[in-house]
Amino acid sequence: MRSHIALQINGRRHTSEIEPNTLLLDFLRWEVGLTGTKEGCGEGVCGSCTVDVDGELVRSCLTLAVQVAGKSVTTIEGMANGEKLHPLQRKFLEHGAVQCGFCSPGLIVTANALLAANPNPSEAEVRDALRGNFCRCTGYVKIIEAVLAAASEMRSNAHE
Amino acid sequence: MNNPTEEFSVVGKNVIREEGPGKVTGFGKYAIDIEFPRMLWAKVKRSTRPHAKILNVDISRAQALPGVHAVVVDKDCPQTLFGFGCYDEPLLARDKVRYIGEPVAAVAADSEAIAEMACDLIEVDYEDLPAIFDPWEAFGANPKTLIHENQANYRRVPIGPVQYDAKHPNAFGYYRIRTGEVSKGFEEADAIIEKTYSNAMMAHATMERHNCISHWGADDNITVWSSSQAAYPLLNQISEALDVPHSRIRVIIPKYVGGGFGGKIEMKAEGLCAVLSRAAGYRPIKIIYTREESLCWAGVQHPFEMRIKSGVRKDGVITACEMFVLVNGGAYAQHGFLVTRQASYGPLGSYRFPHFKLDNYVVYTNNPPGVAYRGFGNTQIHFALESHIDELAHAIGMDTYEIRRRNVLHENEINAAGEIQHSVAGAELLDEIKSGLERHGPLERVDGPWRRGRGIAFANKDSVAPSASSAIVKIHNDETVEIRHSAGNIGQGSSTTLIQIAAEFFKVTPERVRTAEVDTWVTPYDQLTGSSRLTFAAGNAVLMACEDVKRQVLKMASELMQATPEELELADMNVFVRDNPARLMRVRDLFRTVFFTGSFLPAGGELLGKATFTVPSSKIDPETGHAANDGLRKIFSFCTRAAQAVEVAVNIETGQVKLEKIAIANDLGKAINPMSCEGQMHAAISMGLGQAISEELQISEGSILNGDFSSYRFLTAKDAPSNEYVSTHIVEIPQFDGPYQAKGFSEATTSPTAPAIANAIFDAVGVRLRHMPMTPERVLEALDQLNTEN
Repeated sequence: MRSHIALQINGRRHTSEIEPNTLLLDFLRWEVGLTGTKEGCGEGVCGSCTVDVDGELVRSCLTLAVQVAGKSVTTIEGMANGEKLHPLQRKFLEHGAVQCGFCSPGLIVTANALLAANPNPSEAEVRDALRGNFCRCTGYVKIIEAVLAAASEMRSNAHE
Repeated sequence: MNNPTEEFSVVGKNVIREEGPGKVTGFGKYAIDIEFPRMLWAKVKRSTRPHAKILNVDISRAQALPGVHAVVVDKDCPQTLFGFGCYDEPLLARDKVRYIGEPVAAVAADSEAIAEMACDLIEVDYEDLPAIFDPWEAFGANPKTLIHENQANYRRVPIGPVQYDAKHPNAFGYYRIRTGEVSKGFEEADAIIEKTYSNAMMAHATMERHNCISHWGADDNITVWSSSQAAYPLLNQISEALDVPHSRIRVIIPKYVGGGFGGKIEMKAEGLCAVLSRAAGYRPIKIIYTREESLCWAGVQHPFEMRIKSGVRKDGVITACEMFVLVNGGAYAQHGFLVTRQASYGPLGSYRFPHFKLDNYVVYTNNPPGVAYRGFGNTQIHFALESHIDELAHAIGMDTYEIRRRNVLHENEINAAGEIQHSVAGAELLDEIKSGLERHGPLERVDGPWRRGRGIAFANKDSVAPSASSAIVKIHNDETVEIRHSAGNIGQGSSTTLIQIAAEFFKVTPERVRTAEVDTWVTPYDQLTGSSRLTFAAGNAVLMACEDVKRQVLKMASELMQATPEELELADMNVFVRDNPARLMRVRDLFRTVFFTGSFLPAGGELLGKATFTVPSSKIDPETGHAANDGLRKIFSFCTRAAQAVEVAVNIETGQVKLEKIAIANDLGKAINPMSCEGQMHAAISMGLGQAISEELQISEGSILNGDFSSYRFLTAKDAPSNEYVSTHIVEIPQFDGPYQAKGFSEATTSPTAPAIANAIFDAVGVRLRHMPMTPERVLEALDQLNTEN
């Protein structure tokens, strides 16, 4: 018994027939082919699989694809504006916040939700928001720097 | 080209990493992201017993499950043994299992779920054997069981003294170092301290779990796409395990690898999946280890037991040091013998020991196998040594910086293993961390539950020798440069380091240089991504290949420019007469175009430079561990030193330890990309701190109790100190034979953290923790003991 699913992914309508027990993570990675969303632990702990569903952060490894039917999903592949990187993506590169990069998609999606809710976060607020995203390489120093720098740039862009 | 006063245009700059855009956009493909048409999924059936005879494996029900295409056991595999210096491991358990988690059978099926169901249907009958988990029990002359009965006959790579000793039949590796006469040194001492230090088992916890696709082609060639950090060692292990020559195996490592830390050097399931591929009718087989498999059964950090006895004079001079180290190697040798060797020499690069004696054994137990782990045992040995140095300082009432200054090695000094020390950073690092921490003002001790203290530690890491790296550098007809090298870029940024080195050489912007994907049918030999060796060895190989292609360019241009090659120079892809730079030609004009089929080089095929960089080592006396006095006096490629100073807060009611401030200093010759270097140094605050206070694979009777991210305590952004209290100090003591005088350093970034924290805990609350991680339970226990004594 396959289920019909229709939803928006990164601003485009998508329809599929899927097994009802398909995880959102597997749906995105293997059905849709958007492999930017990563699986680190498969139990909702490490944050690598975080995606945005209608403005809420969701662990796609703990969510069934059918649960997001009719909703709008944004993955890391939907962050850039065409060729133009999102300020968070650019600041992650410029500040050396990316090492192995496996946690970067989840971090960037999470940080984006933070900045939407709080455009001017303190360092402690950034650390709070990112506490559910594991990074093995960086010690988080440059990630925090990059998020604060992106926030500052996005605030000045908003005023222009 | 190695003129230190030269102004660099690319080296020393914060260049954005080559593979960065693929990582932040999500479009870069890691091995885990790859799939092929007709691909099948594999799962491994693993042992549930720590040590048992296999009486029978019944695969009939698994084979009958719809969607299953192949089920294999040992008899379906080549009857070989593979290893990393000691060849002791079959692809699937042969006759008996030696640890919980050992692969016993494997399945290929239409989906991961079916493969997993099929594994559950495989029935294995075991007959339990006595099991040993404690290294001391394993070490005895008459242990209750032999884990490898046939060890005496194993094939080995001879490094150091004889590795098998019938007096310790479960030991598989042994190193010793002898200098002077320690008893004499102890007589000269004013204080003697003897203590034992140890560590728990830790996981690499790479964010990308171990995974691969193996395809045994109908042409009998085997292609493997892997998340490995070391293409050529993997190629070699697949070759040995499958008994197939190198030329028929192709290993491809995508540009995107989600971390390694030493945990992705050895072969994991690549060989096994190739066997499944053939059994399933030459279909590609993909496996992704579960988080539990990746944390527990893909190699762990070795637990060490380290007994150190040292003598020190009142003036702080260490007179003698005696160490006995026992390494719990787990059920298979893997990297154990090399970890043991590297750990044995590590301390000798830190300090001067007039009299020194070390015996270091690694033993088989029925625990999961240990492998290389960032630092190759130096994290463990420096935890012991640096805690011990602190104890010596307190015994004679000396400042902890001062005792280290008294004993650190000097440039060109011959150490206790007879090796000449180059590019030695000692006092420079100590000065940096001191000022780094003290810029926040003096320590403020307060009453209440949170007590503060400060501690420091130093560390050394040697990079392996002999060492070899090859590189090919191609100049394309659009004057861009392509580097073909097999350095695994596992997150440390090695591709960009090599790009900067080549860009500096050609005087072009880094955007005009790229690296090829690692592919052993295209990219040449590299020993391994490990031992902090890439910047130095791969960097030198790339520079030499650049020289080679430059020679070719100048020779070709000389024929067109009526000048000798010696009169010509190359910069920014212009060839010009050195004495008359106006006489020039572009490199692209060496190519010719005919009709509409692109351009070609009239002679020589391609502008292709190639080179091999090698580092020799001196002969080592197996009795004393000393380098021969052969004019070279070299055991390692280079040494890199590190120091850290920390301030911690210890909660005397809960035992919790918080890292409040840290100063991190590393000696790296020359920072090719300072931003990348700092990123590596900050590993102190994640991996180093985790090792110090929280990370532990809890194991009971060979069974790991916390093989998942909800119970393995991985540190988060909330556990690290505020950026304001992190100071990062790059120290550049030129490495005379490094590319642009650079060298590697990344392993040494995590070694000083745990001992610095241990020393700070002592400073804060007066208890000495000699076992890491220093969890709240262990801190509380030590505090309770102190209170009882008082």
